[in-house]
Parts: sequence; structure tokens; C-alpha cells
Amino acid sequence: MQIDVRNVSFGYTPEQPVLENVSLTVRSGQAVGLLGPNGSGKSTLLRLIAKSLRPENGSIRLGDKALDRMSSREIARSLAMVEQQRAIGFDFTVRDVVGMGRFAHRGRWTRERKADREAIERAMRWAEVESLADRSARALSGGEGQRVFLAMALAQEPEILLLDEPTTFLDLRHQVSFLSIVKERVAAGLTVLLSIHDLTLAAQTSEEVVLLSNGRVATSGRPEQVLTRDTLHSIYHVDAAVGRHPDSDMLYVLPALGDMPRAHS
Amino acid sequence: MHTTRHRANHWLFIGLVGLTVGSLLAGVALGPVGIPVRSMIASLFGDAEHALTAVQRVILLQIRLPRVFLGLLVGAGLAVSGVAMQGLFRNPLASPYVLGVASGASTGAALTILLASGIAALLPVGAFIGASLAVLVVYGLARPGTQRSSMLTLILAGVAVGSFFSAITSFLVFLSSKGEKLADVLFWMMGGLGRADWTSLAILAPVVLVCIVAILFFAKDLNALSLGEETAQHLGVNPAILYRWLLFLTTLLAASSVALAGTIGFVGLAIPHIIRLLTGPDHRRLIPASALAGGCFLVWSDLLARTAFAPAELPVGVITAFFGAPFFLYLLKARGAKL
Repeated sequence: MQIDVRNVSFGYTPEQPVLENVSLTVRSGQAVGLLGPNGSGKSTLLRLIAKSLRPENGSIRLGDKALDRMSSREIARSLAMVEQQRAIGFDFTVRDVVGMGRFAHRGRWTRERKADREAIERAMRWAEVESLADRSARALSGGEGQRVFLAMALAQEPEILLLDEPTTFLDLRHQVSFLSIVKERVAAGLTVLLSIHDLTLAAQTSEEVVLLSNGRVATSGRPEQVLTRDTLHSIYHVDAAVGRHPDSDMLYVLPALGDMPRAHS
Repeated sequence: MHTTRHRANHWLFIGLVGLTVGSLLAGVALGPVGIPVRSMIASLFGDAEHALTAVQRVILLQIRLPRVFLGLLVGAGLAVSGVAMQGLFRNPLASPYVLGVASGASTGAALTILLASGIAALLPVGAFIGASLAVLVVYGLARPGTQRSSMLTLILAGVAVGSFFSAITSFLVFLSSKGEKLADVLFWMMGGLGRADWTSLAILAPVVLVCIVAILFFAKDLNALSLGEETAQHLGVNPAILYRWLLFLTTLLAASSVALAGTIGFVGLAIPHIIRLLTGPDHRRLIPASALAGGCFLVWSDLLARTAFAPAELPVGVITAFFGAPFFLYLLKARGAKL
């Protein structure tokens, strides 16, 4: 399912716009990385697409439907999101939490049907959390917790998955395993828009990247077009070497520590 | 593990229903005048030899039965309203009284006792109006929207408005410092089931039952809400509708219960926790189980309240807190304080 964002503007207060006139398209089955410095508006854009926030101007469409005409339930059937912050108010098990992904698919009084059970089990297998099923969802490590919430999102059987900095608190192994799972789902047809700080991982995960800066789209395109030394310098004020690995030909971004040019303030 | 938990819940519900029936029988049978269950059955089947005497019959039908039903309804109402408040605020300290229901009802009751003490039927009306007024003021001040921050504002406004109404009540008590009415106000505030009659039950029963079923309708929403408002919304919950309805239903439930039985403490706070330890946090089981357990708890507390110092009657709120609180603390310690 395609995401279309057209000329969207938003600010938490009228004086301080967070996003100005942002447009982007994520085609069906595509993985797009949302990049940009802290405060550039990545999370806000994702929350707008998930309808947690309403844009001041512009329009957002999921497939052929306007987002502002869709109910939460309708949206939840085609779009899932893994957020940055997590809070679990009561002592639910991992399986209970993953099962909550079925909320929009089930009636209020109906019991768990076979389709629900299968979706839950499949999602837990994909996210590799089957062995955690009976554990308390409150007593998990960062990597486990992140995979549990990915499983919950996948149990929604969404066509679109939004990920808000999913790898921020994960160690290297869990970053790699998390993004590999996501990549597998993309290969199976899932549409993914993820915000991420690690540019090398972004380049490996995404077919296209969108670089936000001060609430505007600075540039977008294939990772090798966007992630250039000049662009990174002008957006992040960092001197970074961009190259390709001699064996795998994968794009990497290698920031150099040292004399940082001062951010213009 | 999952199936064993399900089976355990199965037995828990059978146990709770059995306990409710047992509480009902014990509640009507025991008291200063004993009414043997055997005689009740005999009367029911027209066995004149072992049937109830005329006095027993009047006590059973006009005093005990309404009183036990009131206990079941009020206990269920307070417990479910506590479950909903704790789920809604995602805070284990929330109780039916966080939004000022108890203080408002007390002020209403105190005013009614002072101004129209002759008309007993007015007391619940006054208490209900007071409770509703307090909650309306809280809403008006906090204007709950859909953001989490405004839920915090709501709690703070509830505390502030509660204190304000308590001050009014204290002032009224001060004004009326003439023996009997003062005692009436204090006794009402400590709660009791002594005013039970069939008319008030006919009003309370449908309100309590409809509210509980309506809250059960939102059980899965409450489950999802425990992951946070935004996550719940991404799962398909409409938080604005959820908040609006649940605040209305819990307030109606708590205010009606308090109006008829006074501000009985502890049931709405602790029963949800105790039951959560047994059923787990899933609101689909937590709500009905808390309703049954809250009802039983109040019936037994009332039984103790009216027999322990008979013919004098303790306010039931004294019993609920005196025995409930230590038991609750014991459970917390025994179960590793997993709230």
C-alpha cells in the first residue's frame, strides 16, 4: 500500500513549525529511510502518518484513501507503528501484548479465532520472540522488548509499517537482527517507512532515503545519491567519508571525529 | 501455560459465583434473628410445618434481602469503577474517588441531612447531586482532551476539588455541632447498607448492571491502553471516545453506589488489585471477577459490621478498611508486589 504525503505542514505551537511543506511518497512494497538530525521532524512526520497528530496543511493518503477520512480502527488494519517509547501499565505476558495487535481485526465480544491465533504465532516467529511468550512483557531487555513490539505490529497484518528509530537502544547484534527481520518482511511485500540515525544501516535497509532538515525535505533519492560527503557536511555539519566496501560493495558512512565545524546558530 | 491459566480462570469464576451464592445465603440467614436456610427452602416449597414465622418472613423480605442485594450491587459497582479508573489512568493508585465523587457526595449528603433530615428519601438524591456536581467541576476545570497530560490535569483537579468539597462538608459539620445531625453526617460518610429497600434497589440495579456491561464492552480497549495512549490508537482504539465513555460510566457507577451506601472506602482501590493478582491484568476477566468479588467482600463486611457489636451497628467502611487493608498488604508481600 502506498503512502502519499503532500505539502504537509505542522507545528506543536503556531510560532514554531516543525514540518513545512513536506512531500514524500513511499511506493507499495518499498522500504524508505527517513534521515535527518535530531529535531528535524522525523518522529513528527511518522506520527502524522499514523494519525496521532493532524497536519495543519496538506494531505496524507494511504493507498487510495485520505487519512483524515479513516477511523483509528480502519487505519490500524492497514498500518502499524513501532514507537520509540514503551510503557506497559500492567503485568501482561509477551503473548498478551502481541495478541493486542489483533484489536482492530476482532469484534468486541468474540473470542480469539483461528486466524487471530495464526497471525499471532506467525508474528512471534518472524520477530523471534516465541521463546518469550509466557514471560512478563515488563521484564525484558531492550532488544527483546523491541522485538516484542515488532511482533505486535506484525500481528496487525499491516500493509504499511512505520518504525521510529527502532534500533536506537539496541546493541549491534540486535540492530542487525531487527533490521534483517524488517528487510525480510519488505521482501514479502510490506511497505516500510523507518526513521533511523545510523546512515550505514539506513543505506542497507532502504531502497530510498529522505533527508529531513529543519522540517523540510533537504533531498531524497537512492542512498548513494543522498549520502554524499557534501550533503552530510551541510546537513549534519560533520566530515564523513562515504565509500563502498571493497568485498560486498555496500555503502558505508564513516564520520571522522575531530575539529567539528560549528553548527550555524 | 496459556491453557493452564485459562483453566485456572475457569475455576476462579466457578468459585466466585459459588461464593456469591454463599454470601447471599449467609447474608440473609445470619444476624440477631437467625433465619435458617432450611426454613427458607421449606417456605419456598409450601412446607408449612418448617416454614418461616411471620416475623422471620418480614425480616427476610424487607430487611435482609434488600440489604444483601445492596451490598452485592454497591460492592460490584465500586470494584468495577475502580478497575476502570486504574485502567484509564494507568495508575494503580486510582480509585473510584479520584475525581471527587466521594467528597461531592459527602457534601450533598451533609447538606441534605442538615436542611431536610426529615425526608430520608432525599438523602441519596442529595448525595448523587453532590457527587455529580463535584465531577462536573473537575471536568470543567481540566477539560479532558485526548492527551495524556490532560489526564494528569484531571487527577490534580480531582484532588483540588475534593479538598474544596471536604472543606465545605467540615464547615457544615461545624455549623451543625448539635449532637444528632452531626452523628448522622459522620455515620453516612463512613458508609453503611442500613438504608436498603426495594425502591432504591429497583433504581440502582439497572444502573449498576448496565454500567458494568458497558465497561466490559471497552475491556479490550483498556488492555490496549495499558501500552500507552498513542500505541493504543495505533492498534485501532479511539482514545477520545474511550475516555469520554469510561469517565461517564465510572462516575455514574461510583456516584450511584455512594449515594445509597455512603463513601465506603477501600473496595474500589483494593479489590481490583487482589483480583488482578488472581486473573492477570486482562480486563475481560478482571471486570466480571472484580464485580463478583467486590459484592461478596461488601456483603461479608456488612455481616460483620452488624453482628460484631449487635445490636449496635458498625459503619461498614470501618470493616472494609480494617480487615481489607492488612489482607491486601499480605497479598502484596506474598505475591511479590506485582501490581
